[in-house]
Amino acid sequence: MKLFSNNKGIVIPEMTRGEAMACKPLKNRDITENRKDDGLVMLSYPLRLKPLFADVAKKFGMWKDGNPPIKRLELDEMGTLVWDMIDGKNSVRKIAAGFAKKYQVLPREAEVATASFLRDLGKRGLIAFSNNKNGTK
Amino acid sequence: MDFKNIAWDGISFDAPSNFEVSGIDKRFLQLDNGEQPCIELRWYDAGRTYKEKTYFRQLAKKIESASGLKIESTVLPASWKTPLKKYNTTAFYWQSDLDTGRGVMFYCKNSSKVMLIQFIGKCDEQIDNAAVTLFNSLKFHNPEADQLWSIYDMKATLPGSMTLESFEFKPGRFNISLTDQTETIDLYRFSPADVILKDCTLGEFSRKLFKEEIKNLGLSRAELEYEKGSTCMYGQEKEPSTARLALSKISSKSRPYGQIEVRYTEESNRILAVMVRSRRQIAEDRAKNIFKQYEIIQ
Repeated sequence: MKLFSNNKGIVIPEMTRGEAMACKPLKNRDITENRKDDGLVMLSYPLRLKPLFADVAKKFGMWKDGNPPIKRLELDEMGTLVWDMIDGKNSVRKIAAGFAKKYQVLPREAEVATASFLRDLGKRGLIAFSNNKNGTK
Repeated sequence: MDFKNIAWDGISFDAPSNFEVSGIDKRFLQLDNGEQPCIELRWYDAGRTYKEKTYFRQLAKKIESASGLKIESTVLPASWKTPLKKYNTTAFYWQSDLDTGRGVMFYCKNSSKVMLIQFIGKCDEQIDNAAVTLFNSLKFHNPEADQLWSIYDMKATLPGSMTLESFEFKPGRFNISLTDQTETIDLYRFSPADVILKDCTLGEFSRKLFKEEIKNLGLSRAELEYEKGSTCMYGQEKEPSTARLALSKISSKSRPYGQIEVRYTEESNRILAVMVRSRRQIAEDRAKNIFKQYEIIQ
Protein backbone atom coordinates (compact mmCIF):
# COMPACT_ATOMS: atom_id res chain seq x y z
CA MET A 1 0.00 0.00 0.00
CA LYS A 2 1.44 3.33 -1.09
CA LEU A 3 0.92 5.11 2.20
CA PHE A 4 3.03 8.10 1.26
CA SER A 5 1.47 8.49 -2.15
CA ASN A 6 -0.19 11.72 -3.19
CA ASN A 7 -2.81 9.77 -5.13
CA LYS A 8 -6.18 9.66 -3.49
CA GLY A 9 -8.15 6.43 -3.23
CA ILE A 10 -6.99 2.90 -2.69
CA VAL A 11 -6.76 0.43 -5.53
CA ILE A 12 -7.11 -3.11 -4.31
CA PRO A 13 -5.56 -5.52 -6.82
CA GLU A 14 -7.47 -8.68 -7.63
CA MET A 15 -4.35 -10.74 -7.16
CA THR A 16 -0.90 -10.06 -5.79
CA ARG A 17 2.09 -9.65 -8.02
CA GLY A 18 3.34 -13.08 -6.94
CA GLU A 19 0.03 -14.72 -7.86
CA ALA A 20 -0.01 -12.98 -11.24
CA MET A 21 3.53 -14.15 -11.97
CA ALA A 22 2.55 -17.72 -11.09
CA CYS A 23 -0.17 -17.82 -13.78
CA LYS A 24 0.48 -20.13 -16.70
CA PRO A 25 -0.32 -18.89 -20.20
CA LEU A 26 -2.03 -21.27 -22.64
CA LYS A 27 -2.21 -20.93 -26.42
CA ASN A 28 -5.56 -20.57 -28.17
CA ARG A 29 -6.09 -23.66 -30.31
CA ASP A 30 -7.90 -21.67 -33.01
CA ILE A 31 -4.80 -19.85 -34.12
CA THR A 32 -2.45 -20.94 -36.88
CA GLU A 33 1.23 -20.70 -36.22
CA ASN A 34 3.63 -20.41 -39.17
CA ARG A 35 7.36 -20.39 -38.80
CA LYS A 36 9.20 -18.30 -41.38
CA ASP A 37 12.62 -19.06 -42.88
CA ASP A 38 14.33 -16.81 -40.34
CA GLY A 39 12.74 -18.77 -37.47
CA LEU A 40 10.30 -16.01 -36.52
CA VAL A 41 6.69 -16.88 -35.88
CA MET A 42 3.70 -15.53 -37.79
CA LEU A 43 0.35 -15.97 -36.05
CA SER A 44 -2.93 -16.01 -37.92
CA TYR A 45 -6.08 -15.69 -35.88
CA PRO A 46 -9.77 -14.96 -36.44
CA LEU A 47 -10.59 -11.34 -35.76
CA ARG A 48 -12.95 -10.95 -32.83
CA LEU A 49 -15.67 -8.49 -33.72
CA LYS A 50 -18.64 -7.18 -31.83
CA PRO A 51 -21.97 -8.30 -33.45
CA LEU A 52 -22.60 -4.83 -34.93
CA PHE A 53 -19.15 -4.66 -36.55
CA ALA A 54 -19.43 -8.31 -37.60
CA ASP A 55 -22.61 -7.48 -39.56
CA VAL A 56 -20.86 -4.57 -41.24
CA ALA A 57 -17.89 -6.80 -42.06
CA LYS A 58 -20.24 -9.39 -43.57
CA LYS A 59 -21.92 -6.74 -45.73
CA PHE A 60 -18.54 -5.61 -47.04
CA GLY A 61 -17.60 -9.16 -47.94
CA MET A 62 -14.92 -9.54 -45.28
CA TRP A 63 -16.60 -12.69 -43.99
CA LYS A 64 -15.54 -15.57 -46.24
CA ASP A 65 -17.24 -18.98 -46.21
CA GLY A 66 -18.89 -18.14 -42.91
CA ASN A 67 -15.54 -17.46 -41.28
CA PRO A 68 -14.49 -14.16 -39.70
CA PRO A 69 -11.62 -12.17 -41.22
CA ILE A 70 -8.16 -13.48 -40.38
CA LYS A 71 -5.61 -11.19 -38.80
CA ARG A 72 -1.89 -11.80 -38.89
CA LEU A 73 0.67 -10.96 -36.25
CA GLU A 74 4.37 -11.24 -36.94
CA LEU A 75 6.47 -11.74 -33.84
CA ASP A 76 10.01 -10.44 -33.57
CA GLU A 77 12.91 -12.46 -32.15
CA MET A 78 12.03 -11.74 -28.53
CA GLY A 79 8.31 -12.32 -29.11
CA THR A 80 9.07 -15.64 -30.77
CA LEU A 81 11.14 -16.74 -27.77
CA VAL A 82 8.29 -15.95 -25.39
CA TRP A 83 5.72 -17.58 -27.71
CA ASP A 84 7.77 -20.76 -27.91
CA MET A 85 7.86 -20.97 -24.13
CA ILE A 86 4.09 -20.88 -23.81
CA ASP A 87 3.08 -24.48 -23.27
CA GLY A 88 0.57 -24.32 -20.43
CA LYS A 89 3.21 -25.55 -18.00
CA ASN A 90 5.59 -22.58 -17.84
CA SER A 91 4.47 -19.78 -15.55
CA VAL A 92 4.88 -16.09 -16.45
CA ARG A 93 7.73 -15.98 -13.95
CA LYS A 94 9.51 -18.90 -15.62
CA ILE A 95 9.06 -17.42 -19.09
CA ALA A 96 10.42 -14.09 -17.85
CA ALA A 97 13.40 -15.85 -16.28
CA GLY A 98 14.12 -17.58 -19.59
CA PHE A 99 13.86 -14.24 -21.37
CA ALA A 100 16.20 -12.55 -18.86
CA LYS A 101 18.77 -15.32 -19.22
CA LYS A 102 18.71 -15.35 -23.00
CA TYR A 103 18.99 -11.57 -23.43
CA GLN A 104 21.01 -10.71 -20.31
CA VAL A 105 18.43 -8.22 -19.10
CA LEU A 106 17.45 -7.54 -15.49
CA PRO A 107 14.97 -10.08 -14.05
CA ARG A 108 12.52 -7.32 -13.18
CA GLU A 109 12.91 -5.73 -16.60
CA ALA A 110 12.22 -9.11 -18.23
CA GLU A 111 9.17 -9.63 -16.00
CA VAL A 112 7.68 -6.27 -16.98
CA ALA A 113 8.39 -6.78 -20.69
CA THR A 114 7.11 -10.37 -20.71
CA ALA A 115 3.99 -9.58 -18.68
CA SER A 116 3.19 -6.66 -20.98
CA PHE A 117 3.63 -8.81 -24.09
CA LEU A 118 1.52 -11.64 -22.65
CA ARG A 119 -1.17 -9.17 -21.64
CA ASP A 120 -1.25 -7.92 -25.23
CA LEU A 121 -1.56 -11.49 -26.55
CA GLY A 122 -4.33 -12.09 -24.03
CA LYS A 123 -6.26 -9.00 -25.19
CA ARG A 124 -6.10 -10.29 -28.75
CA GLY A 125 -7.45 -13.63 -27.59
CA LEU A 126 -4.30 -15.51 -28.58
CA ILE A 127 -3.65 -16.86 -25.12
CA ALA A 128 -5.46 -17.43 -21.84
CA PHE A 129 -4.03 -17.72 -18.36
CA SER A 130 -4.51 -20.60 -15.99
CA ASN A 131 -4.33 -20.02 -12.30
CA ASN A 132 -3.83 -23.12 -10.18
CA LYS A 133 -5.77 -21.63 -7.29
CA ASN A 134 -8.86 -20.56 -9.18
CA GLY A 135 -8.82 -22.82 -12.22
CA THR A 136 -8.56 -21.55 -15.78
CA LYS A 137 -9.38 -17.87 -16.32
CA MET B 1 21.55 -12.39 3.52
CA ASP B 2 23.10 -10.47 0.59
CA PHE B 3 22.56 -6.75 0.28
CA LYS B 4 22.83 -4.22 -2.51
CA ASN B 5 23.22 -0.48 -2.45
CA ILE B 6 20.52 1.79 -3.77
CA ALA B 7 21.25 5.49 -4.24
CA TRP B 8 18.52 7.79 -5.53
CA ASP B 9 17.84 11.52 -5.44
CA GLY B 10 19.86 12.44 -2.39
CA ILE B 11 19.84 9.30 -0.27
CA SER B 12 21.57 5.94 -0.32
CA PHE B 13 21.00 2.74 1.65
CA ASP B 14 21.47 -1.01 1.56
CA ALA B 15 18.56 -3.35 0.88
CA PRO B 16 18.37 -7.15 0.60
CA SER B 17 19.47 -8.16 -2.90
CA ASN B 18 16.21 -10.00 -3.52
CA PHE B 19 14.27 -6.76 -2.97
CA GLU B 20 13.71 -4.68 -6.08
CA VAL B 21 12.57 -1.14 -6.70
CA SER B 22 8.95 -1.38 -7.83
CA GLY B 23 7.92 2.24 -7.45
CA ILE B 24 10.02 5.29 -8.14
CA ASP B 25 9.54 9.02 -8.21
CA LYS B 26 11.38 12.15 -7.17
CA ARG B 27 12.21 11.58 -3.50
CA PHE B 28 10.23 8.37 -3.34
CA LEU B 29 11.10 4.70 -3.55
CA GLN B 30 9.04 1.56 -3.09
CA LEU B 31 10.67 -1.83 -2.80
CA ASP B 32 9.07 -5.23 -3.11
CA ASN B 33 10.22 -8.72 -2.29
CA GLY B 34 9.02 -10.22 -5.58
CA GLU B 35 5.57 -10.87 -4.19
CA GLN B 36 4.31 -7.57 -2.84
CA PRO B 37 5.50 -4.09 -1.82
CA CYS B 38 7.23 -4.21 1.54
CA ILE B 39 9.22 -0.99 2.01
CA GLU B 40 8.41 2.60 1.13
CA LEU B 41 10.65 5.60 1.58
CA ARG B 42 9.76 9.24 1.08
CA TRP B 43 11.86 12.22 1.95
CA TYR B 44 11.24 15.96 1.94
CA ASP B 45 13.21 19.15 2.36
CA ALA B 46 12.03 20.49 5.71
CA GLY B 47 14.25 23.52 6.13
CA ARG B 48 15.77 24.41 9.46
CA THR B 49 12.49 24.97 11.25
CA TYR B 50 11.33 21.39 11.53
CA LYS B 51 8.84 20.66 14.28
CA GLU B 52 8.40 16.95 14.79
CA LYS B 53 4.92 16.96 16.30
CA THR B 54 3.50 19.40 13.76
CA TYR B 55 4.95 17.43 10.90
CA PHE B 56 3.61 14.13 12.16
CA ARG B 57 0.17 15.60 12.78
CA GLN B 58 0.08 17.02 9.25
CA LEU B 59 1.22 13.70 7.80
CA ALA B 60 -1.35 11.67 9.72
CA LYS B 61 -4.09 14.08 8.66
CA LYS B 62 -3.03 13.93 5.02
CA ILE B 63 -2.94 10.13 4.96
CA GLU B 64 -6.25 9.84 6.76
CA SER B 65 -8.00 12.11 4.28
CA ALA B 66 -6.36 10.40 1.29
CA SER B 67 -6.77 6.77 2.24
CA GLY B 68 -8.96 6.64 5.33
CA LEU B 69 -6.17 5.00 7.28
CA LYS B 70 -5.59 6.10 10.81
CA ILE B 71 -1.96 6.58 11.65
CA GLU B 72 -1.08 6.17 15.31
CA SER B 73 2.22 7.03 16.93
CA THR B 74 3.85 4.18 18.81
CA VAL B 75 7.03 3.16 20.59
CA LEU B 76 10.10 2.67 18.42
CA PRO B 77 10.80 -1.09 18.04
CA ALA B 78 13.78 -2.15 20.15
CA SER B 79 15.90 -3.29 17.19
CA TRP B 80 15.53 0.12 15.47
CA LYS B 81 16.70 2.14 18.48
CA THR B 82 20.48 1.75 18.01
CA PRO B 83 20.68 2.48 14.27
CA LEU B 84 18.35 5.49 14.66
CA LYS B 85 19.85 6.91 17.84
CA LYS B 86 21.31 9.95 16.05
CA TYR B 87 17.86 11.12 14.96
CA ASN B 88 14.76 12.37 16.76
CA THR B 89 12.29 9.71 15.75
CA THR B 90 8.53 9.27 15.72
CA ALA B 91 7.45 5.69 15.17
CA PHE B 92 3.99 4.95 13.84
CA TYR B 93 1.73 2.10 12.78
CA TRP B 94 -1.46 1.62 10.81
CA GLN B 95 -3.83 -1.22 10.17
CA SER B 96 -6.44 -1.82 7.50
CA ASP B 97 -8.70 -4.78 6.68
CA LEU B 98 -6.18 -6.01 4.14
CA ASP B 99 -2.81 -5.07 5.49
CA THR B 100 -0.76 -3.61 8.26
CA GLY B 101 2.33 -1.49 8.43
CA ARG B 102 4.70 0.30 10.71
CA GLY B 103 7.28 2.93 10.14
CA VAL B 104 9.30 5.79 11.41
CA MET B 105 9.65 9.48 10.68
CA PHE B 106 12.81 11.38 11.49
CA TYR B 107 14.70 14.53 10.66
CA CYS B 108 18.28 14.78 9.42
CA LYS B 109 19.65 18.07 10.65
CA ASN B 110 22.70 18.12 8.35
CA SER B 111 20.69 17.77 5.16
CA SER B 112 17.50 19.41 6.51
CA LYS B 113 15.45 16.48 5.31
CA VAL B 114 12.52 14.65 6.85
CA MET B 115 12.56 10.94 6.14
CA LEU B 116 9.57 8.65 6.22
CA ILE B 117 10.10 4.93 6.03
CA GLN B 118 7.40 2.32 6.37
CA PHE B 119 7.45 -1.47 6.29
CA ILE B 120 4.31 -3.06 4.95
CA GLY B 121 2.94 -6.39 6.04
CA LYS B 122 3.71 -8.65 8.95
CA CYS B 123 6.98 -7.80 10.62
CA ASP B 124 8.89 -11.05 10.22
CA GLU B 125 12.61 -11.60 10.66
CA GLN B 126 13.38 -10.81 7.03
CA ILE B 127 11.71 -7.41 7.23
CA ASP B 128 13.26 -6.63 10.59
CA ASN B 129 16.76 -7.46 9.27
CA ALA B 130 16.06 -5.34 6.19
CA ALA B 131 14.93 -2.46 8.43
CA VAL B 132 18.01 -2.56 10.66
CA THR B 133 20.37 -2.77 7.65
CA LEU B 134 18.54 0.08 5.93
CA PHE B 135 18.76 2.33 9.01
CA ASN B 136 22.42 1.47 9.59
CA SER B 137 23.40 2.19 6.00
CA LEU B 138 21.15 5.17 5.31
CA LYS B 139 23.09 8.23 4.15
CA PHE B 140 21.87 11.64 3.15
CA HIS B 141 23.74 13.24 0.31
CA ASN B 142 26.07 16.13 1.05
CA PRO B 143 25.48 18.74 -1.70
CA GLU B 144 29.13 19.76 -1.63
CA ALA B 145 30.41 16.29 -2.50
CA ASP B 146 29.83 14.17 -5.59
CA GLN B 147 26.54 12.31 -5.54
CA LEU B 148 26.09 8.60 -6.12
CA TRP B 149 23.22 7.31 -8.25
CA SER B 150 22.71 3.56 -8.09
CA ILE B 151 19.41 2.28 -9.33
CA TYR B 152 18.57 -1.04 -11.02
CA ASP B 153 21.80 -1.81 -12.92
CA MET B 154 22.88 1.80 -13.45
CA LYS B 155 25.57 3.27 -11.25
CA ALA B 156 27.04 6.74 -11.68
CA THR B 157 28.77 9.38 -9.64
CA LEU B 158 27.93 12.92 -10.69
CA PRO B 159 28.45 16.42 -9.29
CA GLY B 160 26.47 16.96 -6.09
CA SER B 161 25.08 20.26 -7.34
CA MET B 162 23.01 18.47 -9.96
CA THR B 163 19.38 17.75 -9.26
CA LEU B 164 17.04 15.22 -10.81
CA GLU B 165 15.13 16.73 -13.70
CA SER B 166 13.42 13.66 -15.15
CA PHE B 167 13.78 9.90 -15.40
CA GLU B 168 12.41 6.95 -17.34
CA PHE B 169 12.67 3.25 -16.53
CA LYS B 170 10.95 1.31 -19.27
CA PRO B 171 11.94 -2.23 -20.25
CA GLY B 172 14.94 -1.85 -22.52
CA ARG B 173 15.31 1.90 -22.02
CA PHE B 174 16.49 3.68 -18.88
CA ASN B 175 17.23 7.39 -18.70
CA ILE B 176 18.17 9.74 -15.88
CA SER B 177 18.41 13.47 -16.55
CA LEU B 178 20.21 15.74 -14.09
CA THR B 179 20.64 19.46 -14.24
CA ASP B 180 22.18 22.46 -12.52
CA GLN B 181 22.54 26.14 -13.34
CA THR B 182 24.88 25.60 -16.29
CA GLU B 183 24.78 21.98 -17.36
CA THR B 184 22.35 19.13 -18.09
CA ILE B 185 23.60 15.54 -18.07
CA ASP B 186 21.55 12.70 -19.49
CA LEU B 187 22.49 9.10 -18.77
CA TYR B 188 21.01 6.43 -20.98
CA ARG B 189 21.11 2.65 -20.89
CA PHE B 190 19.62 0.35 -23.52
CA SER B 191 19.26 -3.41 -23.57
CA PRO B 192 19.54 -6.02 -25.00
CA ALA B 193 22.25 -4.47 -27.17
CA ASP B 194 22.76 -7.51 -29.41
CA VAL B 195 19.11 -7.38 -30.49
CA ILE B 196 19.15 -3.60 -30.99
CA LEU B 197 22.33 -3.78 -33.06
CA LYS B 198 21.25 -6.80 -35.10
CA ASP B 199 20.01 -4.76 -38.02
CA CYS B 200 21.87 -1.49 -37.52
CA THR B 201 25.24 -0.17 -36.44
CA LEU B 202 25.84 1.78 -33.24
CA GLY B 203 26.27 4.86 -35.42
CA GLU B 204 22.88 4.40 -37.07
CA PHE B 205 21.21 3.66 -33.74
CA SER B 206 22.66 6.71 -32.03
CA ARG B 207 21.97 8.98 -35.00
CA LYS B 208 18.31 7.97 -34.87
CA LEU B 209 18.14 8.22 -31.08
CA PHE B 210 19.66 11.70 -30.88
CA LYS B 211 18.27 12.98 -34.17
CA GLU B 212 16.81 16.15 -32.65
CA GLU B 213 19.82 16.98 -30.49
CA ILE B 214 22.26 16.41 -33.35
CA LYS B 215 20.23 18.76 -35.50
CA ASN B 216 19.63 21.43 -32.84
CA LEU B 217 23.17 21.49 -31.49
CA GLY B 218 24.86 21.07 -34.87
CA LEU B 219 26.79 17.98 -33.76
CA SER B 220 29.06 15.94 -35.99
CA ARG B 221 30.06 12.34 -35.43
CA ALA B 222 33.21 10.33 -34.96
CA GLU B 223 32.93 6.53 -34.74
CA LEU B 224 35.64 4.39 -33.25
CA GLU B 225 36.35 1.10 -31.63
CA TYR B 226 36.65 1.11 -27.86
CA GLU B 227 37.92 -1.89 -25.97
CA LYS B 228 35.52 -4.79 -26.69
CA GLY B 229 32.64 -2.71 -27.97
CA SER B 230 32.47 0.37 -30.06
CA THR B 231 31.94 4.04 -29.41
CA CYS B 232 30.26 6.91 -31.20
CA MET B 233 31.09 10.46 -30.21
CA TYR B 234 29.27 13.57 -31.25
CA GLY B 235 30.79 17.00 -30.81
CA GLN B 236 30.59 20.51 -32.19
CA GLU B 237 33.07 21.51 -34.86
CA LYS B 238 31.73 25.01 -35.05
CA GLU B 239 30.81 27.47 -32.35
CA PRO B 240 27.05 27.84 -31.79
CA SER B 241 25.51 30.80 -33.58
CA THR B 242 25.74 34.24 -31.98
CA ALA B 243 21.98 34.27 -31.54
CA ARG B 244 22.06 30.97 -29.60
CA LEU B 245 24.93 32.19 -27.44
CA ALA B 246 23.10 35.42 -26.71
CA LEU B 247 19.94 33.46 -25.81
CA SER B 248 21.88 31.29 -23.38
CA LYS B 249 22.95 34.41 -21.50
CA ILE B 250 19.35 35.50 -21.09
CA SER B 251 17.68 32.13 -20.52
CA SER B 252 19.07 29.66 -18.00
CA LYS B 253 17.31 26.82 -19.84
CA SER B 254 19.12 27.41 -23.09
CA ARG B 255 22.14 25.15 -23.53
CA PRO B 256 23.86 25.86 -26.86
CA TYR B 257 26.88 23.60 -26.30
CA GLY B 258 26.53 19.85 -26.51
CA GLN B 259 28.40 16.59 -26.53
CA ILE B 260 27.22 12.98 -26.83
CA GLU B 261 29.06 9.73 -26.38
CA VAL B 262 27.46 6.33 -27.00
CA ARG B 263 29.15 3.07 -26.09
CA TYR B 264 28.32 -0.54 -26.72
CA THR B 265 29.70 -2.99 -24.21
CA GLU B 266 29.58 -6.59 -25.33
CA GLU B 267 30.17 -7.99 -21.85
CA SER B 268 27.05 -6.47 -20.29
CA ASN B 269 25.07 -6.52 -23.55
CA ARG B 270 24.13 -2.89 -22.98
CA ILE B 271 24.39 0.37 -24.86
CA LEU B 272 25.26 3.29 -22.62
CA ALA B 273 25.05 6.92 -23.63
CA VAL B 274 25.95 10.22 -22.03
CA MET B 275 24.66 13.51 -23.35
CA VAL B 276 25.96 16.78 -21.95
CA ARG B 277 24.36 20.10 -22.77
CA SER B 278 25.76 23.30 -21.34
CA ARG B 279 25.58 27.07 -21.34
CA ARG B 280 29.36 27.14 -21.44
CA GLN B 281 31.90 25.53 -23.71
CA ILE B 282 32.31 21.83 -22.84
CA ALA B 283 35.73 20.29 -22.29
CA GLU B 284 36.61 17.80 -25.02
CA ASP B 285 36.80 14.90 -22.59
CA ARG B 286 33.67 15.78 -20.53
CA ALA B 287 31.53 12.82 -21.65
CA LYS B 288 34.54 10.52 -21.41
CA ASN B 289 35.14 11.63 -17.81
CA ILE B 290 31.48 11.01 -16.92
CA PHE B 291 31.83 7.52 -18.40
CA LYS B 292 34.73 6.87 -16.00
CA GLN B 293 32.15 6.90 -13.22
CA TYR B 294 29.19 5.50 -15.07
CA GLU B 295 28.87 1.74 -15.23
CA ILE B 296 26.55 -1.22 -15.30
CA ILE B 297 26.35 -3.30 -12.14
CA GLN B 298 26.27 -7.00 -12.99
